[in-house]
Formats: sequence, C-alpha cells, structure tokens
Amino acid sequence: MRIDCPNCGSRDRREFQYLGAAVLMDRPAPDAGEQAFVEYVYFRENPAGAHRELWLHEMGCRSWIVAERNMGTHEFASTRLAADVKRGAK
Amino acid sequence: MVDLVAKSPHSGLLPLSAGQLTLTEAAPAFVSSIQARQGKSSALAKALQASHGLTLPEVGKVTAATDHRLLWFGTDQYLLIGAAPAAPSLSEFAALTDQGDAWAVMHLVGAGAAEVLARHCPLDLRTERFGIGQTARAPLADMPAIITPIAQGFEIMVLQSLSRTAVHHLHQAMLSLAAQASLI
Repeated sequence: MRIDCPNCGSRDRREFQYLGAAVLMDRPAPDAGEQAFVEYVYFRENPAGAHRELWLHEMGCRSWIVAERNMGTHEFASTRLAADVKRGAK
Repeated sequence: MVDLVAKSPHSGLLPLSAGQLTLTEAAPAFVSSIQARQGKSSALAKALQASHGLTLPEVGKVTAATDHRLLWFGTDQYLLIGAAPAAPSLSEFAALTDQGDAWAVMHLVGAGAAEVLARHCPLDLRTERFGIGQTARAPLADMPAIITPIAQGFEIMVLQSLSRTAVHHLHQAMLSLAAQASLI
C-alpha cells in the first residue's frame, strides 16, 4: 500500500502511522457541553466507503496528513497536509 | 576535575570497507534545526540569506555554500549543517535547536552504494530521481534516517543512539553485495 505524502510524494505505508478519523481536528468549543465532547471523543462513523482520516508521516517528514480513503478498497482519493486543511478552514 | 574524553558517535565502529564500497564517519561541527515561526518563513529566508548566504531549500532539496548546507527537514523546518546558526538575527523568525549531539552522520561511497542502501531503504534511489541537491527523510531498516545524495554515494544520518544498529545493517549489506560481485 502506497500513500501520497503532500511533501514527500508516494511512500510506503509502513512509513506512516494511523491516528483515526479526521473529526479529531474539529474539537468542540470549551463551553460546547458534555454531549458534544462525548461525541467528539467516543463516537465514530464506520462507513463502508469514503472516510476522512489522519495519518502521520512518522518515518518521513513528520507531517500530519488528512487523507480520504475508501474503507472498502483502501484506495486513497486525496491527501492534504493537516496544517493546510486547518488554516484553509479559518 | 576529571578530564573526559570526547568520543564521536561512530568511534570504534567506522571506517569500514567491502569491495569497492566504503562507509566512513562524517562528524559535522554543527547541526541545528531551524523551525520557522508561524508566518515568518519569508522573513527567515531573508535573514538566512544575510547571515549564511543560503536560500531556503524547497521541499526535499538542499542549498549549499562552501562549508555549510541547509537541508529541508519538514514543513517550515530546516537543518543547518556545518555552521552555527547566527542566533540573534535568526531566532527572531525561527526556533533554533542544537542537534549536534542528536545525529550521527556517515558517508556510504563507491560503486553499488545505491544497491546497498536499497536493501534497507524503500526510497527510489536512482540518480535521475534522487540526485545531488535533493534530500529525504526515510526509513533505514526500522530507523528514521535522513538520506542525502553526495558524489558517488549517500550521506546517511541516523539518531546517535541508533548508530551501532545502522552500521551493522549497512555493513552486512556491503559484505553481501561484495560477496555477490566476487562470484561474477
């Protein structure tokens, strides 16, 4: 399995570490209430198709990457630096 | 006061040779990481040009002056090798960290250097894809490493605590390829 690092190009999957769904980047506001934090910390979708998730290019440039991967086929539709995603969202 | 003896990371381990290949220690006087503060990249570029005569390297590239070099090291992060960073003028725009005691540097040189490295590193090491002026952070066996092409070979940097393991893996590959070559 190969992953396209936005910095380093196509690299082996073993260089990367998987963290989980990219919803981790959308932390609720401190006063959002218990329910919002319960959902943020514990509740995850488990789609049979496209999934946005976080990978760390641990053995390479050490950047966090937001990837869109098909959970059924493992095909990566897109990869972007998490920093760019976050700054773009502002 | 006890007079302590400074040892280099590879003292007692290198140099090694096998066939046409040599693995030697390169002990740069200074290694520093330069992490640009948020939004200060262009100011840092100007300061580096003024103080060290170096431009900021693009992703996966190296810029070099006569006795010091700047390696791309990550997003907005660079590794200055061979010169101490001009602290007051750079630290306004970047976080400077001395990494001189962190990295062990070796040179793998000779015909077949890419074949030896390919035993342990999944990068595309062909000269046309990865030549002088480029650099990459990539695994060497199970260790995080920095691989930089040099004349007739590669500069390989690993964390000092892993230097013995790195030398072992590279030496085994060197011996194996030299043995194969002697059969032809």
